[in-house]
Amino acid sequence: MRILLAILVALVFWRGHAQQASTNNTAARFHAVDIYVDSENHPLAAYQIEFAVTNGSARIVGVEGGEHPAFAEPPFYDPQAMQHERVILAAFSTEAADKLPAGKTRVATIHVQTSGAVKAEFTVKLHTAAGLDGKKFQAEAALEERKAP
Amino acid sequence: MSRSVTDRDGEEPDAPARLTAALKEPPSRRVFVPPAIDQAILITARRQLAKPERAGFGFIRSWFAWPAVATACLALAGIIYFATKPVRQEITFAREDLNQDGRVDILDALQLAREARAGSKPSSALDLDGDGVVDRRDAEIIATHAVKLEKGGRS
Repeated sequence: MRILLAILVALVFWRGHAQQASTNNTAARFHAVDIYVDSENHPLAAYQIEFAVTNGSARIVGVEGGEHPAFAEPPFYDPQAMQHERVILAAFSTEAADKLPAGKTRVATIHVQTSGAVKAEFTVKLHTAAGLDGKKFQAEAALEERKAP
Repeated sequence: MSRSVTDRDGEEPDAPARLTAALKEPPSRRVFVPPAIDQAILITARRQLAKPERAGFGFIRSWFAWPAVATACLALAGIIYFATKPVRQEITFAREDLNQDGRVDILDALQLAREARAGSKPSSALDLDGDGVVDRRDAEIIATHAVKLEKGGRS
């Protein structure tokens, strides 16, 4: 009888633990990914990038503007990209060259919701970057995931 | 030689005076040529001259045929060139592709926004929102088009 009771207690304990582990694996997590464009010494008047989640279960849930006033407004993106894992961002500014960012600047922040045990990975690809005259120049795009506070 | 002399009838040959005088003198004695030799020379000459000329392969004929062959070759080369040359198609760009680089992207939006801001009058075809004015809002429509995902966000 005591053995049966011990087995029953062990089963209840194991089931509770398993449920907790399962909940932990499927719990939604949120990531804020900053997108940077490094235009070196060119004033950046327009950019277009593509962001994607390369593995894991993730979906894009929000897009914010950048740090520089010229790109503080949220960039253009397809609303259909929300709840999916790929988005194209683009923005332009017709401000004077001295009011445009040069060098590395955060142009946007993307909020991503992930779930599952697999760590999500992100990529960013620069489509184009140009100065006020509309001429393309060599630039680099980079991303940085914000650390959880 | 005889033709040359005939052509210069009435002219004095440009030769030394002694030679000219000697040539004008009648021969002092006749050289006898036997009729058999004359006959043999005549027969040989007739046989040689009676040989049929090979049509189209004579030296003179081939010499004159070269320009014709060259012309024919050029004509053939021309026909081949024009027959195999790809037909140049008129490239058309979407009206939103302002910089005509073959794709609509944020640079087209930037260009239109710049033109609108500068006060230049862009083509009325770029009045994409149909409000009668080409302005920044039309540029924003181009930008919206540029970021469109074909597959609804799925990669």
